[in-house]
Amino acid sequence: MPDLLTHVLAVFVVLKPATWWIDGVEDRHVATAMIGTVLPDLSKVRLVVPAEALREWLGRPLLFAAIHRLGPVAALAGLGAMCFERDRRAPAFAWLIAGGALHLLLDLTVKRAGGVAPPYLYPLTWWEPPAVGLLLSSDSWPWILAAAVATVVWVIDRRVDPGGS
Amino acid sequence: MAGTGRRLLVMALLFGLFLGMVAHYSAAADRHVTTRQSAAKLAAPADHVGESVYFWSRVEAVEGDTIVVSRSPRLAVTGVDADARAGDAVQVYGVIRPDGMVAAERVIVSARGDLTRLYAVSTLALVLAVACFLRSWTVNGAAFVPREGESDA
Repeated sequence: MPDLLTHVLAVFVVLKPATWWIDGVEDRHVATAMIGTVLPDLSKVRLVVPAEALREWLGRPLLFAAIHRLGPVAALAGLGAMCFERDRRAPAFAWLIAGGALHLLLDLTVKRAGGVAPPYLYPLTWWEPPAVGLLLSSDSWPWILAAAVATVVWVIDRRVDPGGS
Repeated sequence: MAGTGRRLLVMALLFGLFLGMVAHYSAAADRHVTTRQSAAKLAAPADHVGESVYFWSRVEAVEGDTIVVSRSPRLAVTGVDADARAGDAVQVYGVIRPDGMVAAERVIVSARGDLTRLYAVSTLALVLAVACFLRSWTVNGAAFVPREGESDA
């Protein structure tokens, strides 16, 4: 995966222009999608959870990588959507899942020695899509590029909507 | 109250669905995911000589074109033409040799310093996403609602 900053900025770059042209798309929807794009990276909880202790307790390994798949992301988006007031839950779910899906799509760009990405579409399929192989997660240029483009989008937004919507 | 109860029920069902998928994935991944299949082969390399493996690991030691990675049992990868140092993360695609080592065909290295920067930048991103969200939404009762001044489209 690219770093999380690249993901968050990518959501801004892709969705912010939609607020200029599409009625009903607001800044708060972009912000909701930015939270959605964080969801797959909740799998990084593995960095702080003692995996061996958990394995002994459960009697089998628990793969936190599963959180980084479409189905669990959708369930988390559903949980998140339930935290909104009733008539905003459906759109909140849509924006959260949009952010999560964009995250998984961008993760296809990571270089992988084996040539294949993980089965991101689980549980729909175990298919491992081919890796595009553009960048490493640890590269700095993706977030620098994303920050530069996001700045341009932000400046244009100030001109389109000086008061901010 | 009925609405709150139903909401909690739906949340409990979604959380159960989430846990169920994580548990199922963990149980079934060995049969479907390349890196998990490779982990099974590397646990008994003598049974899989000549077969290809693909795994991620951390470099423990480097000796010439051979690296030792942090796996159990201990595993050496030879024929590494990338610049790897102890502490770096590596992706390896290679073939299991009769002596139990892996002959590397493709190795990708992520330097330890770059990984530290990755985590720092990602933490910044989390703060940015939450800040943007709370700029547009606030909590009223037990639910997120748009902040005043946000249009109600």
